Amino acid sequence: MNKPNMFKREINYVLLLLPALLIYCTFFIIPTLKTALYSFTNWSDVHPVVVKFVGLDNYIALFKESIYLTGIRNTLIYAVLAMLGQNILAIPLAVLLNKKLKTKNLLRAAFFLPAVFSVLVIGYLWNFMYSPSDFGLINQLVVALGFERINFLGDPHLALYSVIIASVWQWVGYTMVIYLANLQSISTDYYEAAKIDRASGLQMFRYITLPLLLPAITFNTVMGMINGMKVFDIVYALTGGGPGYSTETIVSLMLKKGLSEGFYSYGAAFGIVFVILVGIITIIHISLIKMWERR
Amino acid sequence: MKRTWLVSATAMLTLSILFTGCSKNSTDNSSTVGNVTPKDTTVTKVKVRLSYWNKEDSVKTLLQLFKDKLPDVDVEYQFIDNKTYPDVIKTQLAAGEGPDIIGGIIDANTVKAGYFEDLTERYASKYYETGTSTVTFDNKLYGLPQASWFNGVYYNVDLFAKYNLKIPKTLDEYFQVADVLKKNGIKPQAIGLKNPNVAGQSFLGLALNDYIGTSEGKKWNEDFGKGTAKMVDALEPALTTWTEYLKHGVFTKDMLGLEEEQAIDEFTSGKAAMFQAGPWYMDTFKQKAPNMKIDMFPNLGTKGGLGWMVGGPGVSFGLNAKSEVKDAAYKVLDLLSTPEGQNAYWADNKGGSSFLKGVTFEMPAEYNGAQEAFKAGNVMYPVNNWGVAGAAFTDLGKGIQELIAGIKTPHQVLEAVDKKAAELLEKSK
Repeated sequence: MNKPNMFKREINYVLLLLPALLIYCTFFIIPTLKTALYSFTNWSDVHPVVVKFVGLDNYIALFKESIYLTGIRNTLIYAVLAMLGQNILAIPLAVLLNKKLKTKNLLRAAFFLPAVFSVLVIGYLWNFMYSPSDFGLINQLVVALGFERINFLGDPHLALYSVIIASVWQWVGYTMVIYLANLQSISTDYYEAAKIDRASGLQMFRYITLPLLLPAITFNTVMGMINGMKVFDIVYALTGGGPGYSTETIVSLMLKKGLSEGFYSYGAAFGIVFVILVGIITIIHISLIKMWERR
Repeated sequence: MKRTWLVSATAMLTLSILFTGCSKNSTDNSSTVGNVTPKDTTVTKVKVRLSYWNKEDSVKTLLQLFKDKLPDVDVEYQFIDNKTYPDVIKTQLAAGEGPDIIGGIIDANTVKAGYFEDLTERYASKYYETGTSTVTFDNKLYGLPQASWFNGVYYNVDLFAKYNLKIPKTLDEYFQVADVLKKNGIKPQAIGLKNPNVAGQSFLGLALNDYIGTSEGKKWNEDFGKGTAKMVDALEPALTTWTEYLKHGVFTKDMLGLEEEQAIDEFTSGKAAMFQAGPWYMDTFKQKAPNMKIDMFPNLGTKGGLGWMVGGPGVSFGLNAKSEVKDAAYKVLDLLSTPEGQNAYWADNKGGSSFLKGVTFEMPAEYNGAQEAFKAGNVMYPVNNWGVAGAAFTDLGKGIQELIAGIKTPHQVLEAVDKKAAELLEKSK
């Protein structure tokens, strides 16, 4: 095809993409570039307009402070465990709700329902469920069974995992729906052939269902990791980053340092480190999935 | 060719629709003209936005007063939750926007950034210096202080009478009271330690009694704000004393998971006998337990005496330097700076005292137990003198949470606060 014809064909698509591209540049590319620029300055609420270049000082300060390393560690733990929890529970749930059950539609709706609510509402609900007071639902059950009260959100060693449980509870239904959609695209011929070969249920799941669920697994695990790395709202709603700093995450520290304390350039530097970290983790994650796919 | 023109036109139309909402004359313009038609005599109302972190109920009488006395001004109240209030307002101010009248966040940094109007000429002579000192920088006034706030220890009068308990005057007497209550299955004190602010204020109550309230302590407090004194040197004994609350089982680790609202439920249901707070919760107590008899005693220390209330000038309202409706905003502030305005604010915030000259309020009966401390002037919020290091108070609260959890020692907590204060002071240079 000659070049003028190619150009004529392509220009239509470019013009249609232009609004989206402009929005993307305005609300993502330009702010990201400016954030990167400001991360090398002393921009703060004390120096809000006239800023000076400070080189890598903000980045060096980030890695010197233990609180930032705590935030990164907490975020990674949250992202990995929440992603694993959601997917490990969602797959068997999807397989179960793909069967011919009379109540399957009702059950699908029931499991999906928590995902409809705002994260802050879920956080508020779980605050009461986890409460160590006499009004706490879970502790009422624990005490009734003869055990000691559990300090879910007040114990620094438990708080982060309590937040993860609440998050997994909210999003497992959403993840299940993605797996359901993929399951319904798997041809039944494979299962019939497997039945003829006298394969057990577990063998069918392992050798047919799981490999063919790869597109959904890729999507859910990658998005789960990315969303986990960005976590803020459920932590804010349940613990506020406490007790102490035991549930502080990258985003909560970025807001604390960058906005509340007015260290805008610190917040910017942390943001850039966060983008790079998420990028690296996503690349590793996708590479691992591709390796599994090839096997 | 025809298709290219069609696609181009679609793209242009999409772009123009997208950018329509970016016009400056959008619906949240602070100035509106209402109901004006030819030959209409309706007054032109100017909208003035006022922001504060307490719910609208806490200023309903004041808002009604504005509505009645200022027919040409429409005061739009913006409630922003305390947890996010500074972040939201500072972000708006940094963008050159924000409400016209702003409650709080008037500090050395925000004044230096030029966010607030100088109110010296118009209002400085009307208010007592004890109230304006925290919002005066370089001898210029930037905020109008409202009724003072304070916190002490509320107690359930009936429970104390039931177990023949006397109001404690020292920390030792407090723990004796606590022991009796615990033996009878009553939690001595409900406290929502999940909030680091609550944890910090609990400690400040004791620290004021044992050190900060002394003349040496007041000097230290000012020096700390300037960066020439350390908290670990001055307050480690007080924080070590505070750990007695943990040793006596009054404050326990599970309270780290308790929200303030849940702690209030424990107090108002009679499961707990005491609760440290201020007048802002009185309406909540009355709604949840209308028949409960409540009184208050001051925060206690080891040395006895009249006790101390943690508190100081209440919220100060400042004027956004970039407000487009300053004339109307000044009318609001003028009315606020009258006995009528002060009484209207106090009607929903009973308990504190006014800083407007010539205005006095009668203390409600629920604060009888704290009268002596008030009369002696034992009301102070040390953080007000910390200047730019004030943000380190959150780190103090979080450190106390770690102390309760057994992760840090008092020395480590206060060292961390000193480090944060140094960082904040360094930044402000």
